Amino acid sequence: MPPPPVQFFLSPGAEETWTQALRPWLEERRVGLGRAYLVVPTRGQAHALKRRCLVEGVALLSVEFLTPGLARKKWAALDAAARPTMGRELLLLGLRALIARRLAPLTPLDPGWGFWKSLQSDPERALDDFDELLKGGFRAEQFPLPPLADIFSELVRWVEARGYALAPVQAEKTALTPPAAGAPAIGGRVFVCAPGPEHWGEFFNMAAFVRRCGEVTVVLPAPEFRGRAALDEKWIDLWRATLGAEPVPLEPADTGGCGAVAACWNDPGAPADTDAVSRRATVLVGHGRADEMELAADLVSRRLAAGAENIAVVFPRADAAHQHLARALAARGVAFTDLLGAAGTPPVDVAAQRALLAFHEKGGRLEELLALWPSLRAIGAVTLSFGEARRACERAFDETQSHAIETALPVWRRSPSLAPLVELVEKLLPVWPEELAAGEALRRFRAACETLALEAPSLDALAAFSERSPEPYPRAVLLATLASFLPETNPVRGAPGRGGFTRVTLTTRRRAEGVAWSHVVFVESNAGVWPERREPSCWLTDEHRAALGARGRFSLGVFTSEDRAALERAGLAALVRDTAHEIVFTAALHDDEEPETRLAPNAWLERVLWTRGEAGADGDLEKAFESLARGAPAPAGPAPAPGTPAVAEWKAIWDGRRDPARPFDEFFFSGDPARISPPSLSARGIEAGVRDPAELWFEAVLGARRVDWAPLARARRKAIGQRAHEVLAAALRPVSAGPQGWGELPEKPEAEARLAAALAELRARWPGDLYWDSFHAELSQVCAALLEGACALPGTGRFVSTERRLPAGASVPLGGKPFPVSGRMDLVLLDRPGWPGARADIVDFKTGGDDRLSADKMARSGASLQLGVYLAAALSLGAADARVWMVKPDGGEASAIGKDEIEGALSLLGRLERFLATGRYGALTRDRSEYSFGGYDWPLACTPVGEAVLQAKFAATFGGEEPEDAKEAGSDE
Amino acid sequence: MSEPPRKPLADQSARDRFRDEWERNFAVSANAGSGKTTAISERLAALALSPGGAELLKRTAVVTFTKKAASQIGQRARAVLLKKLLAAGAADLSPLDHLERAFFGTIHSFCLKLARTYGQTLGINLNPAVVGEDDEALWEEFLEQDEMRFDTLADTELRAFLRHMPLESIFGMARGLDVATAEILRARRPSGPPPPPSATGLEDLLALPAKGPEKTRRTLATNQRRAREWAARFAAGEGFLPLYEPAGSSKAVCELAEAWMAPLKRWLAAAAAALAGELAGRYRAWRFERGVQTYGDQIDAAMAVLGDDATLDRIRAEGWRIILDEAQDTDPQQFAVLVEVARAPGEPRGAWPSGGGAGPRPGHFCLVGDGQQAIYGSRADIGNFRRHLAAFARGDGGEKLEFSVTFRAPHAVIDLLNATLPAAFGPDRPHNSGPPAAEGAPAPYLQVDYNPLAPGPGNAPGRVLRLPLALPEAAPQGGVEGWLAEEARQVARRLLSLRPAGVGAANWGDICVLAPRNEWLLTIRREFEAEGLKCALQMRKNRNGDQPAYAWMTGLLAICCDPENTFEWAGVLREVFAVSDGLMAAELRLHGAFRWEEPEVHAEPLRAALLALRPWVLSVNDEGVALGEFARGLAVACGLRAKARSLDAGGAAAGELERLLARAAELGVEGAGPRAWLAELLGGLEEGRPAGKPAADAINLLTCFSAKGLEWPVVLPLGLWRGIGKFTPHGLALVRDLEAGPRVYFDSVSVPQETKDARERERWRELARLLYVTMTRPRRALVLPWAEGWGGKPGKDPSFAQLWGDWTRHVPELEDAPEAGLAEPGESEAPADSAPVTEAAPAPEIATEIAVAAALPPLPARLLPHQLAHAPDLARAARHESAQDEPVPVRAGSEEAVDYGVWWHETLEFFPWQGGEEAIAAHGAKRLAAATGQGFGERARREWEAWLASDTRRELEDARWTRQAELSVFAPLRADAWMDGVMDLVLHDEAADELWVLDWKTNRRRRDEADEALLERLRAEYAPQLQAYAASLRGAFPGARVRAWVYGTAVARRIEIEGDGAAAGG
Ligand code: SF4
Repeated sequence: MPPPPVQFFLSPGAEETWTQALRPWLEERRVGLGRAYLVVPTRGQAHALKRRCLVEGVALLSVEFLTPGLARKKWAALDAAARPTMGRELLLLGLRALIARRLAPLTPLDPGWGFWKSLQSDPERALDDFDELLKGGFRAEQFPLPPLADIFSELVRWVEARGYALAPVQAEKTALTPPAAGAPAIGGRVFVCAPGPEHWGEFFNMAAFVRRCGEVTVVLPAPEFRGRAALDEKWIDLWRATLGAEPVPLEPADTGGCGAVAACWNDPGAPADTDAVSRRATVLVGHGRADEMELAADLVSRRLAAGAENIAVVFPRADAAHQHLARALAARGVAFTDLLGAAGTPPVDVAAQRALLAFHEKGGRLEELLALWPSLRAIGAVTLSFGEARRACERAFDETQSHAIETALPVWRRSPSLAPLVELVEKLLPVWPEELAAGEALRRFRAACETLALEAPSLDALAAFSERSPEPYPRAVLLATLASFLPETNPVRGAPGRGGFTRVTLTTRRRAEGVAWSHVVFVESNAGVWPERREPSCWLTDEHRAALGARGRFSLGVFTSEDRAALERAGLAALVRDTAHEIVFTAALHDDEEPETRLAPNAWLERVLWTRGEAGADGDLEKAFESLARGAPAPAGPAPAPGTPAVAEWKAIWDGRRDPARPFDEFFFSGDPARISPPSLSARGIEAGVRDPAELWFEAVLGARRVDWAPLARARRKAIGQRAHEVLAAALRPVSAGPQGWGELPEKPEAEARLAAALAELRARWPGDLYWDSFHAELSQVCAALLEGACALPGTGRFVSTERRLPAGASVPLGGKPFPVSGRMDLVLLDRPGWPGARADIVDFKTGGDDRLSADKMARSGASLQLGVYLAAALSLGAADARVWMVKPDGGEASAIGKDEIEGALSLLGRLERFLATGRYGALTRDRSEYSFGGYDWPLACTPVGEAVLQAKFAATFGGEEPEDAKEAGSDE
Repeated sequence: MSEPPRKPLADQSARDRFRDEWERNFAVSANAGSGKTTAISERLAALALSPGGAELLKRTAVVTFTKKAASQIGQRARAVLLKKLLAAGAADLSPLDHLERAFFGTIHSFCLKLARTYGQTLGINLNPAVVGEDDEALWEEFLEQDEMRFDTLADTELRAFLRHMPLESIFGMARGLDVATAEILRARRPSGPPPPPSATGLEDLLALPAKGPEKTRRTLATNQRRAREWAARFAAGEGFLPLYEPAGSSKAVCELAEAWMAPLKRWLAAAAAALAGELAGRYRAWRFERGVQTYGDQIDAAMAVLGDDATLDRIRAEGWRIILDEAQDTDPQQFAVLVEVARAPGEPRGAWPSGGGAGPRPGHFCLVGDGQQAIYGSRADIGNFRRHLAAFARGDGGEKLEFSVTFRAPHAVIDLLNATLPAAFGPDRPHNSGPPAAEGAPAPYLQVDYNPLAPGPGNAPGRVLRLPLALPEAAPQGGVEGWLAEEARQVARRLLSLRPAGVGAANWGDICVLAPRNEWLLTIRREFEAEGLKCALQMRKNRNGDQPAYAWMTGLLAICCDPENTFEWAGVLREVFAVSDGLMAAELRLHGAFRWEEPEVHAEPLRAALLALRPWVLSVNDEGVALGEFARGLAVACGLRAKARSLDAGGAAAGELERLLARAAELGVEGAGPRAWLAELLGGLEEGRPAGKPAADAINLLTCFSAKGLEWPVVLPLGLWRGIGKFTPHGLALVRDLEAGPRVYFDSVSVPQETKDARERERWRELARLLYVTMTRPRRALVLPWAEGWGGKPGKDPSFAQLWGDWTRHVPELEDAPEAGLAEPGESEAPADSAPVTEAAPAPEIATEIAVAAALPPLPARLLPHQLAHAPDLARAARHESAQDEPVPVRAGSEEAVDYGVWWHETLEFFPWQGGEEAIAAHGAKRLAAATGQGFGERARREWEAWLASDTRRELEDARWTRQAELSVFAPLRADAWMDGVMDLVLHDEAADELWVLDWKTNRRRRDEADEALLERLRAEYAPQLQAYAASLRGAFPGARVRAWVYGTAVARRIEIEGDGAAAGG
C-alpha cells in the first residue's frame, strides 16, 4: 500500500493550529459520506474543538472525534485475527499468582524471599512500570532489576500461553508494520491535533491508526514553545520518521495573550514583564478551600457578566473543592460544562459484593458478616435487623470468645428465632479454599450473588479467562481480582454540567491544553507543589530510567520524574500562553481538614506575586499572601444570620437541658406518667436505674435497646463469669425435678462430680491451645471456690432451683403498692417445694470485684440492689422468711441480708417510686474522663451533660434528696 | 516568633556559623525563644544558594516532630531565601525550586520513605496501611488466629507460669513491644522451674501479732488463715493459684506478703516478659503479612533497611543530609536511624556516639534542640540526647553551638530565671544526680545544664509579679482540689478588678493561664466562669464523640444506615430536633417504634422531624450519590449549621461541621457512601482533635505541655504549690533504661526501690524542665499567684514551687493600681501593616479590555442522541468521545452488556459488504474468535448467523447503496441545539435520492418476550435517537427521502421509526 498523502505542521499555539490548519481541514469537504477522523489527545480537546465549531458555525458531517483510546479500538477491530489483549485486572492476577508461586517454597531466611515479599506488597506499581517500559518500546527482559526481568518475562509467557496479547506490544507491532496490500484499511482522512511528547505512551496507538488512513495531517507543538527542547525535538523526529515527511512551521500569530505570566515562572532567564503580569494575572486567596471556591465562583460570574466567552477552570483533580465550585456556580445560575465529572456511590449491590469478598478473604468472621449485613438488609435479602444480628453475634462471641462464624453457628442453632440468620450463613459458607480455579471462584461468586439476589456485575472477561486458564490460583489473588472488577464509583445522577456547550469549563490541565481559552482559572493553585514531582517506584528508578533512555530503540525511552515534571511545567506554560485575556490563580490559606496547617503560595504563585511586587519592600511573601486572604469573606461564610425563631427555640431547649437550676422536665427524660410508665421492670434494670435513671429511661421507658458499634473484643473476666454461672447451675441442679421445678439439692460429692463433668465438657469444646488451657484453669478454680461457698451456706433448705426466673406475680412494694418485677436468680434454696410459707435462700454468685453484700451499702449507693429486689420479690411470692447471699470465689465467707434488714436496704427504691409516680426520671450519668469510661452510653447523637449539672438538676427535681455517690460501687458483673 | 535583628547578638557568631558552614555538623543547643526555626531556614537557604544547591537539597531531610512544624520550616525557608534573593537583587529565582526537592517531614514519614525506597530486597511492605494507637480490632483478629503455643519456655515452666497467671496477663505488654525489646526479653527467659515463695516471709507473716481494734485483728486473722491455705495449696501443686494478696491495707502485712511472694514474682515477671516477647514477635510477623504497620513498625522497618550492609552503604553513598529539629524529643531508635544514614559508607553500625566509630560525615548531620525543654520522657530519652550533645561538645562528629539569646522572654523574666534556675538545675538538688557508680564515687549529674538566657535587642523590659493569695480561715473542702478552686476564685476576682491592662495585657486573649494537668484546668475554668471570666480552654485532644457536630452527624448517619435502631433515633430526635423526651416516650408506647416511613401517624413536632429525615433514610442506598452532597443535604435538612453556630459564637462547632462536610466530600470522590463514612466516624469516636480557639475576649487555658512552642504577652501559672502526681498502671511493669535495657517486673510494687527512686528522680528532673518551659512563655509579664502555706501540708509529689526553690524573694508583689509601666506602647500587638496589600475583590483584576462586552447569550445546547433515547444506548456511549473516561453506570449492565454491544458495532463497522461470501466468512471467523476471547462467543455466533440469514442483510447489501458505517454528525438540529452523534450505518441511494439510517441494538430479549414485542420496545425506547439522526440527515441532504430503522440483533429483524427528529427531546 502506498504511503498516504501527508501534511505535517508544527504549530506555535492553539490559535494557529485552529486557524491555519484545523479549520481549513474541517471545511474542506463538508457534505457527503466520506470518512474523516480527528485525533485529539484527550476528550477535553474534542469538547473544546466541537465547541469552537459551534461558536463559529462549522457544521460537521462524517468527522469522527477520536481520543487515542478510541483510535485504538478502530485499528484493533480491523485486525480481527489479533489475539485479545489482556486487561490490567487479569495481568495483576497473573503477576500476583506468579509472585505467590515463587514465594511458596521460600522462607524468610532464603535470599530471594525479601524481594518477592516486597513485590507482593506492591505489584501495582511494578505493573505500571512494566506498562511504561512496553510503551517505551522496551521488553520485559530489559527491566533493570534481574528478578523483575525474570518474573515479567514469565508473565509475558503466561499471557501468551493463555492466548492473550499485551496491548502496548500489539500497538507497537501494528504501528511499525505497514498494512499489507489489500488488507482492510480504515481509510478516510485523519487529522492528528497537536499531541505533545507527554502523549508518548499513546504514540503507537496513534501511529497505527494513522497508517491505516487514506490522507494524513499531523500538527505537533513547535519545540521552541514547549520549553524542554530535547524531548520536543525527539518527539518531532519520531513523527517525521513515521510520516516520512518534513514538518512545516505554521505562521505565529500575534495574539498578545498571557505569555508574560508563563514567562515569569517558566523562563527564568527572561526579564520579568511586571506590567503585563500585573495586568494579566489575578490572585484570589480564601481562608480555606471552601471560600476559595466561593471567590472563584464570584469571579467567574463577574467575568461572564463582562462578556468573557470561554473560561477554563483548571483543577488538579476531581475533588471536594471541585464539587464545591460546581455547586457554587449552579447556585449563581452559571451554566458550565464539567469535564471532571462527579463520583458517587456504586449501587448497594456492589457494596454487598465487596463485603462478601471481604468475608471470604478473612475466612468467615463475625465482623465481616456484620459489615455485610446492612447492605443485605437494604436490599431485603435478610429479615433480621442489624441490631438483632449484632446481638446474635455478641451472644455467640460471648459464649465462644471466637470471631469465627463456624464456631458461632452451633450457638445460633440453639435459638429458633435465629433460624433466618443460620439459613443465611449456611448460604455463605463454606469459606473458600486456599486455592481454587478462576472458574470455580467465578461460579461461587455468581452463586452467592444469586442466592442473595444481588445483581452480578459483568464478568465476561474473567469468564473468558477462566476458560483459558483452568489451573488453581490462591484465594486471596482471586478475591482481589474479583474486587477489581467491581466499580469503585458511579457517575453522580443528575450532576450539573454534563456534556453541553457553555462558556465555562471545569477541567484539568491535560484536558485544557492545546485550546485557546479566553480566561484560565487555576484553582487550588497552592495545593501541593507545581509541577508535581512524583517519586518513581523502586522497581524502575530514575537512574534506571535514565540508563534505559540512553539505549532505547526509540528516542523517547521512559521518562524520569524530572522529565515528567518538566513536561508538566511546560504544559502549564503553554496553556497560559494560549490564553487570550487573563490568568487567575486562586489559593487557600488553610487546609480544610487540617485547619491548623497554614499553606503557602506555590512556586508559580510566588513568582506572580513577586513579579507584581506584592512582597513589598521587606520581601515578605508569606505576609503578602496572608493579607490577600484577609480580603476574603470569613471562613464560616456569611455572618451568622440572626437565629431564626426555630433555632432560638431549639437553643433554649439545648440550654435548658444543661441548666443546673432547672428540674428535669419533658425535655429531659420525663413525661406524663400515665402515658409512659413501664408496666414492669427487671431487678437488674432497677439496680441500674436508681443509679443512673438514664438507663431506665432508654431501656425501660422507651424500650430502645442500644446496639453496640465497637468491634467485638475478648473480655476474659466477663466470659469466666458467664461460664461459671452456667456450670454451677448444672452442678447444683436438683437431683430430680419436682413440682414446678423444685427438687432435692444434690449431695456435695455429686455436685462436684457434675461440676467436673461440665468443666470437662466445656474444655472439649474449646481449641486445644494454651489460651484455653489457661482460661479453663482459672474457670475451674473459680467454680470450685463458688461451689464450696454455696455448699457451706448455713441452714439452707434442701429444695433447689438454679437459674430460676421470678414468676409472674413477683413484685416489690413501691409506694405501698406492689410493682411487678422480673429477673433470674442464680440459685434458690427453699425448705419446701414452693414459695408459699417457705424459708428462702437466694444465692448470687459473684465473679467480679464487688464488695461484700451489705444493707447499708445497698441503701447508700444501690450496690447489688438487684439482690434486695429478689429478696422483696420472694416475700411477695409468699415466702415466710428469706435471705439473699453473695458468694465470691475468693474463699471469704458469704455475706447475706435477711428479711429484717430489707426495709432499710431498699430505701433507694424510693427513688424509683418517685420516677414512676412523677414520670420524671432524668439522668445521673457519670462523666467520662481520661481515666474512666464514664457510665451508661447515650445515643451517638447526644453530647454529654456534665455529671455535676445532672446532680444539681436531680436535686432541683426531687428536692432534698442528694444523690449518693454512685461511683462507689462497681456495677454488677 | 520574632525575627533576629540586624545588629550582632551575644551569640551571633554561633548563628552565623550554623547558617553559613553548611559543610560542617553542628549540635545546636537552643534556648527557649531563640529562633530555631529561623536558624534552620537560614541554613537551608544557604544550602539552596550554594553552587550545588539543587543536588544537595535533593538529598536533604529536615526531620521534626509534627507535620505542621515540618511544613512551617519549609515555608519559612522559602521566605528567608526569597528575602535573600531580593536583597541580592537577583532576577533568577530558581534556587527556590531547589528547596522543593528537600524532604520536610516527621521522622515516621522519613522512615517510611527509607523503607519504600530501599526496602525492596528485604521483604519490607511497600504499601503498608498505618494503624494508629488504636489497634484493638487488629489485635483481636491476631489473637483469634494465633496458635497460642509458646516455645520460649519449657513445657513444665509454662505450666508453672499458667498456674499463677492467666495467659492473658501478657497480652497488654506483648501488643506494644518493639522488635529490639521483644528480642531482649525473650533472650532473658528464666531457666528452670519457679522458686518457691520465701519461707521466712511466710513465717514472719504468720508470726505477726494481733494488735489494735477488733476489726484490724479480724482482718489479720483472715489474712493469716488465707496465707496458710495458700501455702497448702501451693504445696499441693495443683490447680490455678493466683498469687497471695492480703486484704486491707496494713503496711506490715503488705510488706511481709510482698517479701513472701517476691521470689515467685521475679520468676513470673521474667517468664511473662519472655512469653510477651515471643507473642510480640508473632504479632509483628502477622501484621507484616497483613500489610499493616504501627508507628513503631515504621521505625523498625527503617532499622531493618539500615540493618542490611549493602543497603546501608547504598543509602550512605547517596549522601543524605539530615537536619533534626526538636532533637530532645527524639527517641533513641529514631536518633539511630538518622545518625546511621548520615555516616560514611563502611562505618560499623551503632559505633557512634559511643563505640569509637566515626560520627556523621561533615555537613551531613545537624541537630537542634533544647534539653531544658525535654518534657516527653515517656517517649524520648534525655540521656540519649545528652550523649549526642556531649559527643559534639568534645568535637566528635561535629561541634556544639549555643543559642543563648531569646527573642521572647522579657528582661525581668530573664533576670529571675537566671537568678533561680541554675540552682534548680544544679547538682545540689539531690534529684539532679543519680546514685554513685560505686561507694564513695561522686554522684553523676543527670540533669541537663541550664543555659543562661540572654535578651535579644527587642525584648521588652517586662515584669514578674507575685499575685498574693489570701489564706482562707479554714482549709477549703475537697483537699487540693478545694485549694485550687479557691486559688482560681481569688485570681479571677483579682483579674476582674485589675482588668487586662492591670497585668499588662491589651485584652483578655493576651493572657494565658498554665497548669501541668488537664484536670486542673477544668477546675480553673469552672471557677473562672463562675466568677464571670470568659475562658478559651485549648486542649490537645477533645473526644470526637463529645463534639456536637461530630455527634450529630454520627447519629444521623446511624439512623440513615440502620433505620430500625430506635435507640439512635431517640438520640437524633432529641438532640438535633429538640423533640421532647416525653412525647417520644408516649409515641413509642403507642406505636412501638418511630414510623419514619409514615410520619403522619405521629404527633407534631415528631412528625415534622421524621418528615425531614425520611428522604435521607430512603436515599442512603441509592447509587450515584455524591457523599459530599448527601452530607451537605442532610446537614441542611436538619439545620445543623445554624444550630452549630448558635452553640458557640467562637465558631468551634460550626468549624467542626465544615471540617466534617469537607471530609465527606473528599471521601465521596473515591466513591465512598454514607455507610463508609459512618464506619469512619464510629472508628474515630474515641479519638480527639485539638479543641478550643483563642479569642480576644477570653483568657487562654492550656497545659504547660501544650504551651511548648507558644507564647503570650502575659502568663499566669496556677497551682504552683500543688504536687504534680503520676499515674501508676496495673499489671506487669516494663521499665526501660538506656544502660541496663528493658526490665519487666510483676507489678509496680515489685519494682526494686532503687529503680523506683531513680525513676522518681528522673520524673522530678523532667518536671523541673516543665517548669522552665512554663516560665519562658511570656513576652511581657509573668504573674505568679502565691501565698506561703497555701495548699496545706505538701505531699510526696513535687510542686513547681518546691522544684524551683527560693524564687519568691526575687519577685515583688502585684500592686492594686494598674501599672502604666506594664503597657509598652511600642509593642502593640496589632501588626503595623494591617492594611491588606490587595483587596480580594476589585483591585488587581483586569476589567479594561473586556468591560465593553456584556454577558453573551447562552450557547446552543448539545444533543447527544445516545442520551436522547428513553433507554440508554450504552454501546454507543462507550464509543463516543463525550463519554470517554467516565465510568459506565453498572446497574444497566444486565440487559445490555456493553462489551457485547461494542463488539457487535465493531463487527458491523467493518463488515465487508462487497467482499463476497468468502470475505464475509473470514471476517466472521475472526470476529467470533475475538468474541470467544471476551467471553460471549456463543451469543455472538448465534446472532451473527442470524444476521447473515436475515432479510435485512440482503436489503442492505443491495448494489443501489453507498454505505457508511459510523457516520458522525455535528450540526445544528434546531436553532437552539446542535446534534452531536454517530450513526451506526447510513445508506445512500444517490439515484433515488434516498437515505436510510440504521442503528444496531443488542438488547437482550426479556423473559417470554416475543419478537414483535421486542421490536416494539426498541422502537419505543430509541425513537428519539433515530428521529434526531434522520433530522440531521435531512439537513445535510435537503430534499432527500430519509428513513430510519433499528435492528434488533436478538431477533435479527429491523423495525422502522417514523416521525420528525426535530420533535426529539431537547
Ligand atoms: S500531658 Fe499532662 S496534662 Fe496532658 S494528659 Fe498527660 S498528664 Fe495530663
